[in-house]
Amino acid sequence: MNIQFKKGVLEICVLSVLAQRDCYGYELVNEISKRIDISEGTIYPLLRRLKDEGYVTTYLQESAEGPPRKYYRLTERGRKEEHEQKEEWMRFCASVNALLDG
Amino acid sequence: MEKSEQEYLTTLKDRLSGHVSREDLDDILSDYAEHFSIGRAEGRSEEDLCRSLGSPGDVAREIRATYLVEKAEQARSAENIWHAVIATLGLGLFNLVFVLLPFLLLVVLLIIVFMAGLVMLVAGPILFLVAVMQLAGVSPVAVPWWSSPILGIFISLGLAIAGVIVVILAIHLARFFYRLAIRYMKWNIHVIRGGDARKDDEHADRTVVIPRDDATALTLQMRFGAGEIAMGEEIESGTLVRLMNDGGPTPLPLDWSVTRSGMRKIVRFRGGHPFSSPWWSEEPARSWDLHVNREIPVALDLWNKAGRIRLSLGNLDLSSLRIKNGAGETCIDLAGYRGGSFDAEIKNGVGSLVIRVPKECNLQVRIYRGIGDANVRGLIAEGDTYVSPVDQPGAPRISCQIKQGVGSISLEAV
Repeated sequence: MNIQFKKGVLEICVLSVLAQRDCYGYELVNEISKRIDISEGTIYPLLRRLKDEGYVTTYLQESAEGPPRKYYRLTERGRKEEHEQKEEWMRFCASVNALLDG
Repeated sequence: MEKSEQEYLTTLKDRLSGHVSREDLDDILSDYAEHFSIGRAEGRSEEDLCRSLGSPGDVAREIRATYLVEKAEQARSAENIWHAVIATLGLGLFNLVFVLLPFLLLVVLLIIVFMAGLVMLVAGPILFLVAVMQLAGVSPVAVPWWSSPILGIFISLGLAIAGVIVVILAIHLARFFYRLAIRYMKWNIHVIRGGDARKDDEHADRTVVIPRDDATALTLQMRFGAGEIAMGEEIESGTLVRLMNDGGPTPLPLDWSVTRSGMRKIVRFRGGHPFSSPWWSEEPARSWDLHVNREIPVALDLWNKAGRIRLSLGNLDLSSLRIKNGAGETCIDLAGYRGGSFDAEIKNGVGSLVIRVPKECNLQVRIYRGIGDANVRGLIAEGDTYVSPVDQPGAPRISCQIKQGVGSISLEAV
């Protein structure tokens, strides 16, 4: 798939996974990369940006397997953003599909 | 490429240290360290993890640019903005023209205005003093170019007041430019990143589909002001050309025409004038996705004033190729080409140029180099001309002229 496409939808993918549940970085990366082929390293800068923009917060939580993990949680603002972007995306997809089906 | 966690983190650290604060650096590195440690615990090799993370250089570049622009936005200083400008420049040669030049021009302009104000501010009181002394009859110097001391007092006072106004104006202008520069760079990072998903509108997505009908040859001429042009893979056999635009909130200025000359269809696109997506609007850069029929010979003539061109043409049957990019990166991939022989002319103004040519063909490439390195692999140099190592009878001939302005050239036979 077109690389521009993928980069563009990365933000909404991250927001949308986090809307379902809090995730630690690796989990989030995995969740996305098993469906979309991306260079995974770029998700972390994106997460930082989302944090700076106040869409997510982070907290540390112990894990059974090893050192504590950094979890990402959507803020109220992030939830709103996720909602808006999702709606936009749905509309966008609907019109593209309509076009493709001709 | 990095093969271990150690290498990956070291590279990332090297690229970032000195650019972000100590705390942030530790924070970023710990994110990646955590990624490695969890990945390892799940039984993946470090090499595999490095590969899927992608280049640490890219990660660092993205972080640096975002970080510095944000810093400049929060704490205004000449130093911060300069660092932000440099970091944005690092994202691509494209920015040399579009960031550095306007930035330097504005800085020079501001300095001139500020200096002029200062001179007026200093000269005013001095002249005032001279005029007063003259009025008192003790003129120290025989300057006065004004006819009477009274007039002199008015002129000097006026000058001082004008000086104050100009200096204040310069400070406001500086603030305004500062904000503008920040916004401009954000837009730039956006463009380089490739925009984001937040754009759609009923008008925004336009697709032009031109049917093949009975045409047996195609001339495709494209003239674009700005944006990114990429080549898509899939196309239906009944379609001659399909051009998609990924949108933007405003309707797209795109003109196109189809004419015929015998069995040849001539398709012309013209659109996206340079400021259709101005940087002061939050609108992302346009990108175009082009699909071309692979069953008939194509004469491709593409001219983009600014932006990125990425074409994989290996699957087409070309009869001629002309590509001109004013500013931006140009990547042309002809790997695996099996069509007919053709002549090519590739001109790139400012920006890097990457060309992959098929080694199965008989190649003759002449490079007119401007400023920048040329890196050629898999071909034999004869002065500025590069040819295939062995002549392969029956294989298509590609004769290519490359003209490069500023930026590196990478030519590789694969």
